[in-house]
Amino acid sequence: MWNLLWSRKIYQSLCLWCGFRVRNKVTGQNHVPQLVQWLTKPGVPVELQTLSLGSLQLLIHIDDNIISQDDAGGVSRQMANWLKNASTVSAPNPYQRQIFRGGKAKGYQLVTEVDGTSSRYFFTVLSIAQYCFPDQVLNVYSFSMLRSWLQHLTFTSTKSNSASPRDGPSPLIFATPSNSSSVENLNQSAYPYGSPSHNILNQSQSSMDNVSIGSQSSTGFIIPLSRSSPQESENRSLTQSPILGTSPDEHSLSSGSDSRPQTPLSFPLDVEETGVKAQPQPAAKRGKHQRSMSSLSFSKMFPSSLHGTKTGEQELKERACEYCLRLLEQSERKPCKQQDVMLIEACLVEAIYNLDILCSADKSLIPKLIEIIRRLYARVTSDVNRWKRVLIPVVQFLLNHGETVVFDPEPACKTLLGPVLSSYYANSSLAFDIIFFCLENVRKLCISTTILLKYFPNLFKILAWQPRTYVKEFMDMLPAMLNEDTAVEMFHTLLDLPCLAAALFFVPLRATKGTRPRQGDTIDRLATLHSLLEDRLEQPRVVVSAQIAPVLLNVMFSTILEEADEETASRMIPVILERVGLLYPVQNYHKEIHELLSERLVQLCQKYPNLIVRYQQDIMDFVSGLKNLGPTKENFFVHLVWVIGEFASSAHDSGCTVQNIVQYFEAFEALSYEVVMQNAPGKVSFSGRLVSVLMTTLAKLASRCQDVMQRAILCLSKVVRQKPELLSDPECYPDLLMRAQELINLLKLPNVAPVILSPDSEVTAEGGTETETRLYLCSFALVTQFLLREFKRITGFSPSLGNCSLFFIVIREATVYFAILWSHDRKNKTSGNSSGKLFLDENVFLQKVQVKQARTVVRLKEFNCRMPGHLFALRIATVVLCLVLQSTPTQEK
Amino acid sequence: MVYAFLIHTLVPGPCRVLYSSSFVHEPSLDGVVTEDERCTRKEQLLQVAHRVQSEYSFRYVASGNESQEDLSGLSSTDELLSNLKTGVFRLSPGNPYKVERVVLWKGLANSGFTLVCEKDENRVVAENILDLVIRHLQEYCQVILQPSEAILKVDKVATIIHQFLPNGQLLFMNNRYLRQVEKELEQVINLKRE
Repeated sequence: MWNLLWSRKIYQSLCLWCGFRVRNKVTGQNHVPQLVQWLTKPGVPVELQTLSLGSLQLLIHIDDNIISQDDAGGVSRQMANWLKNASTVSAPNPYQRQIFRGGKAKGYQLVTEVDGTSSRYFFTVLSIAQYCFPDQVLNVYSFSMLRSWLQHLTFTSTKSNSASPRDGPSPLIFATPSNSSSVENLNQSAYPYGSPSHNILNQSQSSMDNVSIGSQSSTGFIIPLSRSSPQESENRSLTQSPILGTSPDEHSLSSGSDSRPQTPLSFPLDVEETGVKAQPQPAAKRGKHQRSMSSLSFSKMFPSSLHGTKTGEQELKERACEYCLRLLEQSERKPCKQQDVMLIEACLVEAIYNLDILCSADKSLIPKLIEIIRRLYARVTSDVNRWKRVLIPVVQFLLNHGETVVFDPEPACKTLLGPVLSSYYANSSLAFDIIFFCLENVRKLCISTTILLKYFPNLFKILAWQPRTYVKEFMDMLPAMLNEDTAVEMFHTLLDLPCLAAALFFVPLRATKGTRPRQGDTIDRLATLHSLLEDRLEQPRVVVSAQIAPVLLNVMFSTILEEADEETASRMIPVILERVGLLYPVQNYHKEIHELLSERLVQLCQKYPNLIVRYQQDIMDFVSGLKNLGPTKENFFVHLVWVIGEFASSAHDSGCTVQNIVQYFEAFEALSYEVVMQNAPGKVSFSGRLVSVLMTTLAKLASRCQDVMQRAILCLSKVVRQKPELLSDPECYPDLLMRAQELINLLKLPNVAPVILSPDSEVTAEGGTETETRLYLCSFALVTQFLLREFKRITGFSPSLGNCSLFFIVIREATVYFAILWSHDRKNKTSGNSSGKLFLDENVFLQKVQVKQARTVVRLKEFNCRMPGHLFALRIATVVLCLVLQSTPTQEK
Repeated sequence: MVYAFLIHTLVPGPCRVLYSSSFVHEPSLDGVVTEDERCTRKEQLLQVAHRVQSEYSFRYVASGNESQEDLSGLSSTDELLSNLKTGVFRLSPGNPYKVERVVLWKGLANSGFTLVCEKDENRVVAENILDLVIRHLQEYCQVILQPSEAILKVDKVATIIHQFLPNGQLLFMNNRYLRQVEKELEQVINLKRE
């Protein structure tokens, strides 16, 4: 109890101390030497050592440069020592009074493997001691911290490449010659109670009543059995400690025949591989030095360190490699306890990552280790369910180092993202590991494999299953999954994400055919699938998937618009038309997707206007007939119609012939009649917006082709003669009338109409800053609106063919005023001279403008769909302004 | 290396962090300490807790409607532990930490247990340690069904965390080593009672 109390006190004070130090970088730096000293000096309590190790790690974590090269070497050496030389017997039960002291005479129980057989080799975290000696505790700690320490070493050695490798014997605290054959010296110097004092130690320990493990110093209870004389009489069974007397050959043989033929750890192999075949023979005769032998043969993996002394780093790396390989071997045993099952998995993961780091630092290791890792891969894939978590580190290793030895990592990646992912997408840990793996290696996967391109539909299962968790990750990865071949497929996959989520719920472990639709007959089956899954519309996963699909679609389209070539982008048009009516009917999903697709369609056509000619047949099929109309689908339809009107012009695409334009015109003409003259009213409802855009488009197309102008005028005048009650929003009928009249009037002036109605890309491009354009636009919209309204009152005529010239004079005059207003706003005083010729009194006009401003803008918005309204107004404004500027003031007078 | 451990509430509504312990001191990059570091850290942890809360509620809804009252019938630790929902997610750099981190959480009823790890942490062992921590928190404080115990018995919570996450270090513990740690824990907690 005393010991325990004492240890607690030390512990707590130390925690405070270290916590304080660690929080402060500067003082932390000052105290590194103290920490290092505690770590490397003998006789320090184990708590202090573990704590120092932890604190040191924290400090390094914050700042890699905080520890000097020498100190790092010293600590590395000490860690190597702990990793390698921990006791191989169990400590006595510290909580039990030793009533029968004689019992101790039997000696300590040997450490066992996870399956209960006696351990034959050095102690690892997978060796089970009934109770741990302090050095075993340190072994556990060292391994737990090994990876970050190795990373630190790699970091510093790459940074100071010239300085780090073998700068002679570092000024260590224990000045032992540290080549591999003198490990025993090292042991003895590090552990004052070496083998000779073993018996004494035994006695002293058994005489203690209640030994607390925690309170002992790390050196206090070292039972260096493996290093002590093999004639240990107290040992209950000599056969159980073959490490003592066996040669490495025997050992490897025995481990090989030990019902594990495919053990990845076989040191003789390493020896042979490195071509030192003479080694095993003499080695057999040096049975006593088995430990040093194994490290000697093993050190062939590090040829550079064969001669001369090794640095602490080098030693730690060798030790780490050995330790990890030992773990790989141990992991083949069958554990009895649940905790150990998990531990084995964790240890394998850790060991492979460690080997990965070692290989990155030293490329010469790769050829030797890759074979072991490949065998491990075979083992892991033979029982994926048990080793699923280990698969990723293995694949990572193969991916990182496969190239060096001309090993193709692609099959391994395929296994991971193919069958394994399909089976375990619902396992949150593994799913995360896979996503993380892809994200971390996205560059490498793109360069050296095609795995992401091939398996992204499978990856999306993870997203469909946990749509909230991985949005950001998929947004980052999405561009890597796109290329010219997968763009269409990706589009389908994203649109079907909610459907996939529903299907996963339905058949949790099987992929459905609906996830990968292709062009063609799939479309029919997709509708069937949607109807089958209709009862899952309310599922949370489905709802959230429907919310994130537009986000990802936006990423996809942005990537395509920015990165892809025209060919890839052009493939999207028919698919968009195909899928726009075929969506999983989740709430609001249609609306969002339609909005998104409309916007993206406009952008695509803006960038590549020739798409309109190229896919004319598809588009005409889409717009002909009423099947694609309806309250929910109208938005997209309107956009499509507008796009045609805007970009079907030889000004945008030289390939656009008169014939194309006429064909489009005829299609829209037919459509207009069909829409407004439905014999059964209300069969397909349509809004004023659609009619307005249709009329504008007809006028635009007609203005580019004189032959159909009369037909357009006829059509327009018929269209507006429809019954207002057919509209879904009858209140806008007067506006429609006005719009039709306006367009008819324009079309009646064949010379003016093309100028006003045709796209002029320069205008939109040179529209100046956004505020300027908006100002320009608003003012002109006001002028036009105002004049159209007030024309009759002012002149006594309604605008018709007869008084058209008068109307234009009015417009011209008004625009002069507008131009002044505009230039005033731009603080441009040069055009103020024509203000005297205003048609209207300035003040009156201003007043009216202010009153009507808000109303007009609102009306303009509901009148046209967003883009056509603005562009149209802008265009008229520009043209009229040009007219005004051309006409000189003298002519006016 | 674990950055922090949290216990917090899970039910929808304001999220409360009931216990937090961060192991790594993250220095400010510019070297200038102007704001209250402790405050910043707490806010960051609260953000993490918020995210866990929303992940949990989604998981809860998505898993169907196993109603809350079932849990009161579950008294044994094992039964409770087997019902824990679990998840992992990534904190992208800058949100809320400067570096990328990974969050592992487990939760049930109104208690969420969260480990904020560095991104290259061994997640298999982290999951295991989190399990162990929860098991012992439940054994000593019954924290799963009564989250307020995490505030009332904070000394026990701190001891448990200290035993299983010394300095934020995840340890590879085999069954015997674990037993030894558990015994030590038992001794320390008993010692406190005396």
